[in-house]
Amino acid sequence: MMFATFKAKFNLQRFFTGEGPKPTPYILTQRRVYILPTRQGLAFALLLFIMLIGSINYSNSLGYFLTFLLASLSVVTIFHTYNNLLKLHIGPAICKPVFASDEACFTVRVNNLDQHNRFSIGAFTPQKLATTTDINENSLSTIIIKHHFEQRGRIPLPRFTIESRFPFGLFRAWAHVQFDQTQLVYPKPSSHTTLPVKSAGLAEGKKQLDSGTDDFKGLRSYAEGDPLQHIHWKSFARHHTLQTKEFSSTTSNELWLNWLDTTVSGIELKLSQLTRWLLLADKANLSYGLRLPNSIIQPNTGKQHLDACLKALALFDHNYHGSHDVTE
Amino acid sequence: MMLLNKLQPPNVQPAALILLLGLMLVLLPHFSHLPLWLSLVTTSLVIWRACYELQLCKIPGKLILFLFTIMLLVGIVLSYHTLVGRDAGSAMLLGLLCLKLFEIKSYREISIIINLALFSIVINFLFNQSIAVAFTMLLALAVLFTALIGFQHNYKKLSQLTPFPIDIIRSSEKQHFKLAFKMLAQAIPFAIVLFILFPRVDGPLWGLPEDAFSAETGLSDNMSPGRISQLSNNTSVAFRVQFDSAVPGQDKLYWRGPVMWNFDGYSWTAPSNERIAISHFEFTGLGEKTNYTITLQPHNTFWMFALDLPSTLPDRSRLSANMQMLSLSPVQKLKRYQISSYTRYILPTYSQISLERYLELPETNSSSPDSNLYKSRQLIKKLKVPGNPQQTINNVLNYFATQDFYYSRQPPLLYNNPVDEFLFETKRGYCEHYASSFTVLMRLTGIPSRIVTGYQGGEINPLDNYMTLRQSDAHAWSEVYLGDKGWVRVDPTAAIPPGNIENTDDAIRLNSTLKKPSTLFKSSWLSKQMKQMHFAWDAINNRWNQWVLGYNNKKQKAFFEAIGIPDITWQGLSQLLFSLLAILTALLALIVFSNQSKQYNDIQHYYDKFLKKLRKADLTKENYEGAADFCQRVILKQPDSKSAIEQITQLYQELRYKKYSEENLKCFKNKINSF
Repeated sequence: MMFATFKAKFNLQRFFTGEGPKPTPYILTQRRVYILPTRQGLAFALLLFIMLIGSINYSNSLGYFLTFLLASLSVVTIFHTYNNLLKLHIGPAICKPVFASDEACFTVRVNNLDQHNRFSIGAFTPQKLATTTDINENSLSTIIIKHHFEQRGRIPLPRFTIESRFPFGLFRAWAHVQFDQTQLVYPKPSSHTTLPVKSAGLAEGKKQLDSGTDDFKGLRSYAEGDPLQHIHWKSFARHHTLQTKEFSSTTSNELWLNWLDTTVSGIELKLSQLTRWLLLADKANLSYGLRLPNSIIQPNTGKQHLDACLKALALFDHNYHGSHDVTE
Repeated sequence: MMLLNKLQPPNVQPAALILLLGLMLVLLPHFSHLPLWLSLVTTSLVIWRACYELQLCKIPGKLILFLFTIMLLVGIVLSYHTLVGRDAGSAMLLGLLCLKLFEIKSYREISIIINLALFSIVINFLFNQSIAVAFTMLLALAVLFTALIGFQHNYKKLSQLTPFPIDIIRSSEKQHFKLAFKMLAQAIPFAIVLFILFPRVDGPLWGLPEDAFSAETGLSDNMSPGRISQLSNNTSVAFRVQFDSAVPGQDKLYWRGPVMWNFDGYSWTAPSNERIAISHFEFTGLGEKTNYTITLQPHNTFWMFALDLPSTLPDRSRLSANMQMLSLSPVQKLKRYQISSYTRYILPTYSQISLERYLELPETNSSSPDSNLYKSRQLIKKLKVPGNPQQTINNVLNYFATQDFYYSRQPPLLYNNPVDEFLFETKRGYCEHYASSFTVLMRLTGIPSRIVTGYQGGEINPLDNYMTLRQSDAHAWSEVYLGDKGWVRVDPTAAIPPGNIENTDDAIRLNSTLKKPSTLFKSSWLSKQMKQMHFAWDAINNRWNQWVLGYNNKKQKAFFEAIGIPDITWQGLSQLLFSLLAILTALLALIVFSNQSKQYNDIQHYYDKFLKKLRKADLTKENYEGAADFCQRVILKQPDSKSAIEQITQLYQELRYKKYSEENLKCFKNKINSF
């Protein structure tokens, strides 16, 4: 047991990649912050060496003193650089769902509970997207971490590195930080597709189109994916701008986005297409429902509904889907 | 062709201006040794860059910079006739450093410039290690590091590392300066410990360039009266003396230096092929011995000085046949030696050298009136008392005293026949003229004689009892050989009547030599105060020389003996050094890391206690939950203790985020305890 903790303590892995996911707030304790000279620091050391040799050679007392003073200064800067990171409370991150391969920005809370300012605190992910910030004494700040997620689903937040070279840049203190939080990543919307005009509930759809016209509400500017039947051709003739007729009836616009209607093959591509459809349908302010092999979301509108549908796509489990394939 | 870069977008970097200020401070002391043109060029380059930073002008492009570099190197070769060595090397370093200012593209160049500037500070110390320079450089250091902090604070902006906007606190440069100063202050104790304890190595590790050490001295190894029309007024310190016994009277304070005996009609020299070293002293000391310690300023020659006449020899030194003390290697750093002297003595002549050479004069046709020394020969016929050399000497001195001779620091130049011209035409001169003509007259009467140069007098600083000899105290006198009395010192300059001194400064300077109380001093209150301040400053300078600049292997040993650790070894020093450094590091860690507020700890401690109490009621504060949100949630579950919970939360927020007060903390504590 003792040996195990000892091993964990001196695990070289911690130096390069950190401790792995940890609950927030992640406190930068002495064990978690590392410090090493930078390239500039090494050049400075070389300069000091030359100065020392020169001072010895010329027996120059002030040369000695200056050399010693600069050497002492670099020792002092170790403490200051280290202290610039020490005891920062990092996290939790506030992350809004993103689409795969979009740039995700998650805001990380950085809490400075000490009575001294922190300067030039940098943060970067393994993808090397860096930001820096200052944090006043006893105050809360945020760092924005940017990251590209390639896969959909609940993805663990990436490891990122907090670093500081303040004040002289001779040393770099850093800590690897990874939260036990996850990021919800929606499938990447496919680029070119339009809403399926022939939706699964064909009969219902016909009915919608017939009766829907009675409850005409008003006009709004055309958005990609609006059904052709709803375009207000008269205003197009007059103003040369496309206007779409809006209908107040919820039932009249009901649209089912069905897994089986997708025109591409492959699970991820199908999900991409469905994602785009969802976005188009939401934009067109249609009432839409989602029919997946393993779940059905009843037609509705609004942001929450969209999020629920996207979440269902993001978390869609294809193994589960396989067993239901037969019933369809 | 585009020779000038376009102006950058309006973005003045205060750190860049601070860097330029620091650079100017570093350059300032260098101007004393750089050629004027280079001083002007470096200054204008720095100003140019500053104007660019302020968006007043453009900076040169690559081609022009290249031409500047070539011109700089050519200029240095023309001025110094070389590119290596201390002087030319430092000139080149400074010139290139200033040209580098126009190549700043990223943080990397900034750090190179700062490193070069730091190196220039060390170079500065090779030329000048005065207190003023030391403190200017300390200030320069603080300014340079302020600039570095400024760049480091905004460095991402400079190097364009990130495409994202950066959010920084607009912190003032004052804050950066404070931090730099604080860190320097924290570093100084370490530096002092290292300075005292770092094992010192003696001597150079390898050969130094010829111009490695330069120093002015009021003396030279040859003397040509009348060739130079002005006596140096250099008041820099030649050496300092600390007397262990009574201070001899002013008329005894002759500090023996180079002795010259070879005269070619114009110049006195001491041919350097004389390599006889006397190991034992062949003279009889009379009266009390004087013991003292001399701290000699470096002057890059072999000369060492001692009160006339030394009876002991310091380490690594020898005596010449003329009783001149010489170091075995050039004095290139502050040299300290203990020595004793007899101010009254009988010095026989050195047995292995015949007295003939102290009588030699240039061959001349004595019958021709135009010949060298013709008039002198005529004069000596009148003054010579055969068989009584003492009377002859008195007659000659009397001649100087009565024949309208004047002491002048700017005497007329002498040409073909310097001795006759001086004695019968100009009659104006300083010690060299008198010593030279007196010695020639002595040789004409057949008395062996030679010139002794060195320093005369010395000023006791009443504050620390050190006596200071300055370059302006340089003096020359004669020594004549009077049979069984041996070599006797005669100072012909002292024969000049006090009234025959051309200006008051000289009178003051000669006051001691002339042995007569002078009424020329106006000892007003102000001059006394000035004198006092002068003494104080001199005493500080002396301490600086003794303990800072002269700190070497020996001083280090002496220091440890003084604090009760005799015979400290190299290993002992290192052990002591490392343990002291460890203690200092621990103290530093304590200071730096103690910034964690005790107040915060107290507040958090009680709040945690409060949370613990709530946890018993199955109410756990989530990490993401703020104190206020949690409060709302708790109140829903525990409506009975609504007011208490609200109060505690409010106090917590106030203490933590608004304003801390002991009172509130007490209140907070009580509320939690009674909750």
